Amino acid sequence: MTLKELAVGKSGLITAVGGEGALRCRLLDMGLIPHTKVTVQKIAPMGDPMEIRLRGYELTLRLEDAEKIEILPEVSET
Amino acid sequence: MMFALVGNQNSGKTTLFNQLTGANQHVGNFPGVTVDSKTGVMRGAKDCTVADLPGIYSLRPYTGEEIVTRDFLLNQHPDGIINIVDATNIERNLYLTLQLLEMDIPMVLALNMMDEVRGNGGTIDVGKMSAELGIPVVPISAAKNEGITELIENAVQTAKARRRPLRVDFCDDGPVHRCIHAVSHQIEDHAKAAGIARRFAATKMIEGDTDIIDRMEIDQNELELLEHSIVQMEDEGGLDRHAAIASMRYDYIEKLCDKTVVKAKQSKEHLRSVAIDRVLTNKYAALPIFVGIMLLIFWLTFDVIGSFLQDALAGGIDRLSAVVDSGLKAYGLNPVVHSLIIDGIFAGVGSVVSFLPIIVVLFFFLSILEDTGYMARVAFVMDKLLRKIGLSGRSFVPMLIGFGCTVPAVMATRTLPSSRDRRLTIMLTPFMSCSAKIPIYAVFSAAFFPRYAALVMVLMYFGGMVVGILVSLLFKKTLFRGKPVPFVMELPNYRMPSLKSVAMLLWDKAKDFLQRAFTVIFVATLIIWFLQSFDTHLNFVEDSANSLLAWIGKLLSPIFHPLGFGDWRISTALVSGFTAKEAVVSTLGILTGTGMDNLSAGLSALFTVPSAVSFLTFTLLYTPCVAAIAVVGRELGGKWRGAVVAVFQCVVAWIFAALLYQAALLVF
Repeated sequence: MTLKELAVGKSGLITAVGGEGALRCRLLDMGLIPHTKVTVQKIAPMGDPMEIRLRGYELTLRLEDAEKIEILPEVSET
Repeated sequence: MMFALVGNQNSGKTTLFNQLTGANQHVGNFPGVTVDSKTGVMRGAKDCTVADLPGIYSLRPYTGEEIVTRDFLLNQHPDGIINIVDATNIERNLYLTLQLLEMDIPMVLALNMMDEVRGNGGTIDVGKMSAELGIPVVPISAAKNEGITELIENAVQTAKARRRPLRVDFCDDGPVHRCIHAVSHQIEDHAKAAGIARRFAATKMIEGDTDIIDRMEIDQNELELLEHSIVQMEDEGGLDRHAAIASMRYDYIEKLCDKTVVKAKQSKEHLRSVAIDRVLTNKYAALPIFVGIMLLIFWLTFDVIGSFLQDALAGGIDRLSAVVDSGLKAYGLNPVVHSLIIDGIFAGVGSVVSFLPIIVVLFFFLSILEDTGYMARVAFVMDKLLRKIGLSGRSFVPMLIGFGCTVPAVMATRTLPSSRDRRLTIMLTPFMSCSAKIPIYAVFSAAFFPRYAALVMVLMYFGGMVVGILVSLLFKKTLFRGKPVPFVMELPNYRMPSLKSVAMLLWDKAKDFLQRAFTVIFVATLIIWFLQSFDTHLNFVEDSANSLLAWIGKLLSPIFHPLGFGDWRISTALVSGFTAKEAVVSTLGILTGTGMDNLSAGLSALFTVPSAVSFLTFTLLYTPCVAAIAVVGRELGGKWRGAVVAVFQCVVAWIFAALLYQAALLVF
């Protein structure tokens, strides 16, 4: 599944980062690389973009870009 | 000796720069781009200057800021780099550090916000980190002015001894390692000839950095050989070149942090941020709160503090001008020179100075919004609205400021992260109806639509926005077709703004405005004075109807025939609006001979309802005042560009006014 589909409050491990050009390089530079854990914090009031937490900081990205990031959802403990 | 201060956005770089240099700063511009270049002399080290480079996350050649930083480091050959790193967000900050180390320039790492790390119970083994990275590491707190002296000492010593980083190699054995080393051997001679550090050249080569490849003048045969090594790495490692290099860096960083960093279990600052965000970016409360904050800022700026200061300044200038006036009269000075001094020079200085209070007060609030981290939240909340016109949420606040005054709005675009967004935002801001146009709307509503004054006002504001949106859609398809910079933005923890930084920014903005805009506005006011005071035979005129300005108005009036207002008095008023929009109404009052009290009657004689509609549309959209044009020109990087924007606005205004005039003729 993709990061876009991950529900608020859920975490997952990145498996692949798609996209191309400046966007993809930017995502990689910001630390979104395979095996990184990300948690969805919030969706903006108008439904887009989303706020995620990774490597101890918060990042916002648009849903259309989050769709290009493949993740493996973490199994919830509940 | 010259140092370069490099670091991520939100790492406290500006605060550190202010601490390093005190008030000894010089603001300039990097050639060709409107990115601030600040340099200053370091405290206690007179022969050392430090350049504050833009906040960046990586050394790729994508954004103007990244290119500026790279070019500075590659071409200016600084004696040392001071790399500031946010210790509370160390992993991502070190990503840039590793790329800087590859450049093989003497470097010192400043671990900022160490007080926060310690306050939350975390630690960083500075000695070990220094040994691992092979450069001095100095813990500091830029906001509290701690560790700055040690940082300067370390930087100066390292640069003096030309101690280059001991480590430039961050890869473990494996395909990436083999590829980097194979590539760096192959390009060794080229890199040396181009004066680029070998390791940096190699990783940038693998990342497909065309700028570096061009600098090294590698021929096609060699490129194919190199490509072969890179493809082999991709096949063996299972990651493409970009992901492979990024992973290699982050892998090293994770190992380094495992060895040297004990992370705090929880951070007070982060918890506080989450709590604040629960309100400020709340699904229902976010927009009302934002609107409330902006209304408060507008009210305080334009109605309370700004207008108070403005009145005080204007009062001072008036009094001075009155004293000089009576003095000159008593002396019996030639009336032309007298008019030049009172109506030209004093009016000119007055109009420049009248902008200052608004700029200073508005930037006081804006810099607080920016420094606390709220501006990033506004971008987060508003992004969806602006995406459709090819911008990001970051442009929202500058455009909003345009409803108050175009001058600070355009100046506020400086904080936008990409030059494409900055230019597009600057082009659109003048379409946001500024507050100086309100008297025009008010007078015309009173004369022609007395029962719908509020509706007219609302229509004017929305009309400006609609045209702005149409223009931006046009630009998106033409001038600004380039891909927008991706909206992947950090949301930093909320922080208390540093008063020193805010004060420095205000000082910069005020100085910048006075230095750059003063001449343009002053000269423009003098020209208008000249046009108003002389006739075509250069005789001094008492009645402005005989002046050069009226003559120009008569020349221009045919242009406005298709818009329904071909009378020369109207075109003259429009020309006078070039100095300040308030002048449109007062000029109409003078030229119709009705004065301000009975202007409605005067206007009724000049306009019909359709031509009033057309005139309102034209004044809404046509050229911004000279102060705004001066600032637009400055921010777009050339005075002529300001003129181009002014002409463009006039053309757009003409087209829309003509269309609405025809439409209004059908209705009324």
